Amino acid sequence: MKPTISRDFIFEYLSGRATSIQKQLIDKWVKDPSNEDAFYRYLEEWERLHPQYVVDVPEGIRNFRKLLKETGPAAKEEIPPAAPARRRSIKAWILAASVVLLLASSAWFGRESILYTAYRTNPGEVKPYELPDGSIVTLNANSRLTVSRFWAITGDREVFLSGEAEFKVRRTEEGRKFTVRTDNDVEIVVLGTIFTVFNRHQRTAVTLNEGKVQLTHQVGNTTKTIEMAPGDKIMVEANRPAIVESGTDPAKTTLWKEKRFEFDQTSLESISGVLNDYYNLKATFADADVRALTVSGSFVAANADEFLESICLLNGLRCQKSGQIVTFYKENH
Amino acid sequence: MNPLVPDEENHDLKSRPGTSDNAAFPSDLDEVFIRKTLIGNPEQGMELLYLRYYQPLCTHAVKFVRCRQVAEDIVSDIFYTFYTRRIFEKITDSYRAYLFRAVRNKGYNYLRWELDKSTDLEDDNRFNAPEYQQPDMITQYEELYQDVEKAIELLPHQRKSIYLQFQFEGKPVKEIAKDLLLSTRTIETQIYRAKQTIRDYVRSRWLPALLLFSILLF
Repeated sequence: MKPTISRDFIFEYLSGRATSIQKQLIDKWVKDPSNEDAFYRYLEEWERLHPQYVVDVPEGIRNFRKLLKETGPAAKEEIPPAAPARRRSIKAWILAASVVLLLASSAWFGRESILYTAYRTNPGEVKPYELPDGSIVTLNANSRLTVSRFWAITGDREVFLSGEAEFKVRRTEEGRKFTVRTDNDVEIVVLGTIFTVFNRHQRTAVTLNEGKVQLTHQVGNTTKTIEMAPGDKIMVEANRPAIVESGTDPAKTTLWKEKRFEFDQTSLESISGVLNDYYNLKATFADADVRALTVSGSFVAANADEFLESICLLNGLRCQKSGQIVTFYKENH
Repeated sequence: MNPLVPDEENHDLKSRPGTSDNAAFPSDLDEVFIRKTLIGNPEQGMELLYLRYYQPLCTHAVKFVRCRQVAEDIVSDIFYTFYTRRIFEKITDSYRAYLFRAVRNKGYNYLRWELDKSTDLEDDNRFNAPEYQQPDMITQYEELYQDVEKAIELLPHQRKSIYLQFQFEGKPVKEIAKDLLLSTRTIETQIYRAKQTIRDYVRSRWLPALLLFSILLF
């Protein structure tokens, strides 16, 4: 009979708890190449779960590069010319594209790859992060920014955003580009500037405060590119021409940084969108009249309760929250 | 909490006991991706390889050599050969299997060589370790380093601590002496004794095999 050996069995063995008979079983089992492969897979997993110490991986990569430089041209000749060191080749772009693809596919399977670091915010939370190049990103509630872990090494400044964020991108001496991508194929390329990106429900809005930004997006099968100037706001929705609005006040798009909200004749319907995006709350209305109401006002709210209190107080409404559901109704009811 | 520090995705630390598939850690998808990158752009591919395997390989190697510097040197050496001899083009099974096998062979050689030589404190000939015949059975690798671990565990407390600072961290004798307010002579003696104990313990189980190889070779 062929022995069947599970991951747990190997783990017991690696922790030194296998008997001599069990060891013999393993020796027999690994003779089959596919089992041997499984053995090393379990071994790798074991080492990840029980590390002896934390290894400085970037340091390892730096040493490797140094070694390559030192061994110099002799070693280089053996190797067919790799991509030139400074100029970014087509290959590098393909790599970049595959990195995004990998990222998208790993997001698809609902798990992270070791190749990425994720920055994220919870409902109602606003938080600034410093990226490896010194750029500052402020994430609004319920947002997530993914950055390749080897970003700092390869110098490809690329990030993937879902949610809403303000970017203060640092200009580099070499003039390296900084690219923001979203899940609906919008790509924002900059050198160093301040801008805000909103990307929720397959809708993207970009507002530029300072500097210059290039935005590409897909309309059907064609790729459109728009150059933005300060004060421009561009809204992109799937398969529709982008809407450009000039002369907006950029400060208004980042009111959320101070947890400030401003509404001017905004429908309660839109408010329910905000509630959902920021606080994971779902709004319902007592009747159609209430749904049709509009609200106005400017206030600061640190959390969902303060937000609801302010909205109701300013507009003569009442609301009741139970779990994640909020019901709005008129005060005199 | 410092908001400027990213939330690392600690998937490494999550485990899903009882399942045979590996949802708890990077899948083989990464390996396919690394393979493609290595062929298109070897230097970039090597970086991915480092990110993917350097940590688990070093932490495995250190079990054989008990010194982080030696462990990292061994793994880097394997990576370097992997790159300059373009071994990545020739491998038909997984990179992981190749890399782990290589680490285990080198670790095994190093440890056997260390057991053979005299107990000098000055020992920097690590890359000229002779090639020992590799064991026939995969489980002998575990047995060897687990024996060493058992031997270290048996050391008296302070001696163990001194030995680990010297051997694992690579801390100079002088510094250990300063920290512990002991003379360098004492530290040296402690290290010497620790090495001797470990050696005696491991040799008692492995020496017959060692002798046998010598007879076959000469």
